[in-house]
Amino acid sequence: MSLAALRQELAQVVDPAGARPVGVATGLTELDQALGGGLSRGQITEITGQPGSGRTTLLRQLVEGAIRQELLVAYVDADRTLNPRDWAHLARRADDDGLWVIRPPDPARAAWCSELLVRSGAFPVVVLDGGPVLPHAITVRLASIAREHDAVLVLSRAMEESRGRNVTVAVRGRAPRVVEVKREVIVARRLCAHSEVPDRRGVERRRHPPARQGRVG
Amino acid sequence: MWSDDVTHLPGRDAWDDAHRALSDGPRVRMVSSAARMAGVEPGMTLTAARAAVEDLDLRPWDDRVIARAVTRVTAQLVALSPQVTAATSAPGVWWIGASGFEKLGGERTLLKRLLALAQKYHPSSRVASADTCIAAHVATMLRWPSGRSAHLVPPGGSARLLRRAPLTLIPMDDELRAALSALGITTAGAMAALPAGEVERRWGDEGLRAWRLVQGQDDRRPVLAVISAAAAVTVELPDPVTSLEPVLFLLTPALERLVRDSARKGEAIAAVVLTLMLDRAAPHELLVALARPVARAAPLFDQCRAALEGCTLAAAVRALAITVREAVPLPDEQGDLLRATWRDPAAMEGVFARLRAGLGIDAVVRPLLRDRGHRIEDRAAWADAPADGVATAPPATTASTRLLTPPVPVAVRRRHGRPAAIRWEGRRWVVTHAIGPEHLAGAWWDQAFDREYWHCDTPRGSVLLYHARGTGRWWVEGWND
Repeated sequence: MSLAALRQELAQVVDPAGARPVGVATGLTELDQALGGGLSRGQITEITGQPGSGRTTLLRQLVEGAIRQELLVAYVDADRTLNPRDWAHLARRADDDGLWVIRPPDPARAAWCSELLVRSGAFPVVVLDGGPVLPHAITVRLASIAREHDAVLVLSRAMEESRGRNVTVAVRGRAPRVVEVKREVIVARRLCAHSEVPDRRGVERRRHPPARQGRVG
Repeated sequence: MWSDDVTHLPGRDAWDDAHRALSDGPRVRMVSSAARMAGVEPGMTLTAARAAVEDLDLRPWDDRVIARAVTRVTAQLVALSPQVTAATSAPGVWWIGASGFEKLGGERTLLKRLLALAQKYHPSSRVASADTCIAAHVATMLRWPSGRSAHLVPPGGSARLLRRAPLTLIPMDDELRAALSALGITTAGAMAALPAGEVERRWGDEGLRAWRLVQGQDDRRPVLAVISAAAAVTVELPDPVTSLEPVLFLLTPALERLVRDSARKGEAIAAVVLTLMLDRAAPHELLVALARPVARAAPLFDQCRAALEGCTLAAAVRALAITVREAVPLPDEQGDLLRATWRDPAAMEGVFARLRAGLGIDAVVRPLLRDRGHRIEDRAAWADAPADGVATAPPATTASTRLLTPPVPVAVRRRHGRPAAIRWEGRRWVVTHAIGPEHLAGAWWDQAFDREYWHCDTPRGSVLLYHARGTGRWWVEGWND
């Protein structure tokens, strides 16, 4: 390898002063554009929404996108409600590849799990899904650890209060952003198309055509 | 004895009659004489080796097992002679100093004792004594008319012994050996007859070195054995403590020191023993064995911390000792820092060890497909195991399901046979649209089930509801999000 080629490779790895960090794509082009290139490293991204708003589907698309970029993902399923069937395609044969899920028996320990995972440096993407509302001090601490390890940390929670049917993606940190994502952008059809219980809604498909192009942000 | 750099001995060796080989990854590393004669060579792929010999007994090369065995034998050999050097390139070969045994029965007595010890480990072991290492080595490889396994080369007899030795027994460059063979020089004696100047002119320093060996001029000597004590660090606490924090505080620098010392010796740590000295109670020992040897303190600390957090102590801790139980040569595997996605696998194992210690062994899992029945909850599971296939990805825009395990009983009001409202967690969910019923039943031989599923659309989202026809109860199994 020549010296010039080595310099070029190092320049791609070492972040020069003032350069924007490369984000992790979410899988939704409009959302990535609204966030300025995907989920930012070294910052906390909060994804909230009512049950049924498409929040879990958005998280799944986000994890799929990260794994496509060969990033190892740790997902803390604090409420222990994820359906493994929807995520089985993300498990890999090798130990150092794909998705790992942590299911704490007590949701209150989810924040501790997230801190360990980010601090280990082994996972560039960590998702904390569910669990109790985090005190401000713990959120600040997690943000600091994410910044130190240049990790993408996603905090996701279901919001019971009625704030509309959209999913809210909020980025904290140096360049805060808030983006509303309509459910129709994430999920094509409202009702489940579960393969075990076949969906026979031929009529409903015509009545409610999928709306992929929703306004984002 | 097996050998990967010496041709088979003249005549078959009873021990090497079997077709055996050791594999290192996808290739053969070492073969028995019989296997080599049947066409198996070191460096072959395993497939080619099995194709050459159908009944080949193939076992994995394990550096740890071999290192342990070599250490065990070396320790016993040291009892017979203070000068013992294990040959690093050829496990199973030792150089032993045989000088100064005049008052202990002489060299013959030493040879008998060495042979008796060696034959405990291998029935076809051989021992030889000579003025030089090269003559002793050749003497063990030649088959003697007497058939004895121990041979003493008289003083000054090295050159005469070497004269009839094949050139394959003399360590030298492969190119040099091939060049000599092309010239018809196949014995050490034939090479010794060449003029030194001519050898140096043709083949340089390497040729001259080999020429000196065939003359019996060998400056190598066994060294004094150094049995290194197991690396250990002991730290004492100022006062006995009942909490873990002070112990962990001292654990970090202790591990850093052990890792540093091991790395200097070219070793990675594979297992440590933590000994907690307790106040007026017997010491408590914990073995921490790593799946992957490490040469960094951080992942080792995580594993040790996980072990300490999981133990219950009978008394206060007054001191901590950390002993390296097992160390292996530093692995060749290197991380690629120029690949932005590379992560240290040892760090991942360390954090998983801590999570499992704190949350239970089932806390770290992967989603895996299972075909254990027709029920929705039987199609997949969370398990700590590698995927044994590739599952089909659901369409990107298909809603993910959240499952309640176990399903939650609810009250349902029906209208015209279809769910109209659900009372769940004290709230009323009005069903605006219901699709179903879809009937799932089975497992009559085990835990029979008979369910009618409904997809119910409500203002709060869609819900997966089923009616258990046997009991007549309604359950919410999940919702789509």
